[in-house]
Amino acid sequence: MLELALNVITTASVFFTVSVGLLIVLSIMGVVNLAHGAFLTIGGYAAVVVSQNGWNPWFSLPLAAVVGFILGLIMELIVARRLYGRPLDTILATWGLAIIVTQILSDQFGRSAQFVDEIVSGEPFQIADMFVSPYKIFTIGVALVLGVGLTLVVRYTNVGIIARAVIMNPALARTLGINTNCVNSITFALGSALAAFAGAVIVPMSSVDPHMGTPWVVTAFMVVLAAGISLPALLLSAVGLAAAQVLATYFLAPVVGSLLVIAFPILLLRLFPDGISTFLRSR
Amino acid sequence: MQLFAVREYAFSLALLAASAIGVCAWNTQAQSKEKGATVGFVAEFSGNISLIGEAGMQSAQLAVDEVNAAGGVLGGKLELKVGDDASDPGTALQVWEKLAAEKVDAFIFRETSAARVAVLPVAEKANIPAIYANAYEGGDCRPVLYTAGEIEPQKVAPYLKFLKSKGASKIFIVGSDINWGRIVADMVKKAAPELGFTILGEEFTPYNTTDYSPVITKIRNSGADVLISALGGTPDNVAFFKQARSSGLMQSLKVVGNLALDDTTLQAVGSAAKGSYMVASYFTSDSSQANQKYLSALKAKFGNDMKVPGIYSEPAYDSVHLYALAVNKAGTTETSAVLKALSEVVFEGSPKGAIRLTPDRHAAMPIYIAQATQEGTYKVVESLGVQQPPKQCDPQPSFGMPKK
Repeated sequence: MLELALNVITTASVFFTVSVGLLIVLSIMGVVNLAHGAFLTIGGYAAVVVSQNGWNPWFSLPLAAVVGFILGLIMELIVARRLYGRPLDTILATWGLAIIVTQILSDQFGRSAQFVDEIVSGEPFQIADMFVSPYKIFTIGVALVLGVGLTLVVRYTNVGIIARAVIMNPALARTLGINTNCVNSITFALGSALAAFAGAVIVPMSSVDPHMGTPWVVTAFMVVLAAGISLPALLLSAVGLAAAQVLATYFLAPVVGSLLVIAFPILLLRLFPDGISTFLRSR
Repeated sequence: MQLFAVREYAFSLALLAASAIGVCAWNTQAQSKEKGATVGFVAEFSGNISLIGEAGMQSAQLAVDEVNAAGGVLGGKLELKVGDDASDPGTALQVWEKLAAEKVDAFIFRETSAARVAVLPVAEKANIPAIYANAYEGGDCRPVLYTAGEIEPQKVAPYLKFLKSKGASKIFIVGSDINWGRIVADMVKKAAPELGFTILGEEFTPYNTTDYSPVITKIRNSGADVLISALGGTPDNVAFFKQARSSGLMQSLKVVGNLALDDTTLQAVGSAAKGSYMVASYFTSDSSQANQKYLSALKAKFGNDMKVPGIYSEPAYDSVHLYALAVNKAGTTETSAVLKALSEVVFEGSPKGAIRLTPDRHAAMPIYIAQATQEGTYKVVESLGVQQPPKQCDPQPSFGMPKK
């Protein structure tokens, strides 16, 4: 049972890490960034480059984030910027971007799956009758750092105040002298950097291929959909969906597990149309 | 406006004329194919099986070079038309329909069992010979089909017997959730009790599963000491074994027996699968002269891009050679003559030794058991000798589709 709980926490950490970038872009810009999966894939390939050159696997984390940030900034300036206030068009445009990125990656790195060095390797250690893998600890740590770090930034810094102002009322924020264009650029780049970073975190225990982002963007979308706009809600939503997936895989079948990740948010939205965040706010 | 209409009319006429000429040219080409032959080669170059697909492609290309260097077929060249099935049965069907429309003389294909079931009706409908360059669960007896690789009924029982001798008896089966995985799991379940095994559980995961932790926990909690893995595809094997090792599962199991972790995939898995066993008709480390020649020819042709061949890619090499031999023996690419000739020729140069297909549409071959090393390679630990496939086809399929 203890091991199952650990599995839920690990999977929840991965879900949280993968979806936090999507949440930030959605909350500040009101844009559903479907290129999120493509940036995640870019992060995976950053890890591939690091492995191919025989560099220290840890280097893949900052490299992925930096590459994601720069490419995100470029895409915001070229494409996303022109589509604000047109939610449906942005969904289409970012999905198109994702397809272009996937094709470029296929062209550069080949279409087949690639494998990267493990960031955290080493033997598992035993607690009672439970084996704990160092990689699981690593993913939990990453999610904790991201969650706590972002919460602190939003609560206690000027950047956080600006971000919250833009979330609450973009028009008013602009009249107060906040450069919302600049905020948008940085937000999009940050979201992309987080996606790429998440990509580099998850690939050592699986594999990298040009289409790896698609299932993850679906998962991230579902987690954010269930959460609504709020970091604590995102955490709850990640834990809930992870529990659904892990427990259904364990007690029923792996197919049911993957199915629940999609079915669960839909049911939830029927009950709470704005996700878990409204439920939290109503207390 | 009038002028435009006339122009448009002239343009359509020109187009029509051009297409008519094209059709004529195409027709003469079809008729002049008395020399040489064109084979549609379909494998996975993208998606989760792509590593094996690329290895299969290299083996096929090498064999085509060798055939053409030795005089080709019917006094002309043997040519490959390559198709990518993207590891997806739906895409596979489209690729086959396209190749059948291009009137290939035969299909040689290295695809999953799920794709095989989807695509073969295309070959049957067009009455085109098909050689399955893969190992599979057995039992496919379509009139147009031969299989050049081994089938699980040739090896599951002796393999289980070997695993039993390692001193463990409680089995958990994990497999890919496709027809192959489930059929093979059933074979294991059927053969196991007689050998003194008990089956404690089974689990099937979809392709491209990235999180194996619940399955790993389930295997451990079942109390099994033998894991039989029928996971297919490189990403799934890599994910499973890396996670199994890092969560201590590999250490708590006595025996791990793979059914689909070939040399090509093992190289990507690396040391994580160390100590696990595999049963196959072919291992890259085979020291026979024929295998060394095959490996050095691959190396010479592809250099650093060479993919390590394994049981799922080497049959492509045999298939191309067998097809060339059969066409030359039949003296034509006509379907029933080629299919008949396929049961009469022997390919002596196979890395496995001589390969002879039977009218039962399968082939006898030597079977080995090997153990994975720290370096991600297999070391043969036992030879089971030449294993005959149990009778697969009853009644015997005809050579080609019956005439209506």
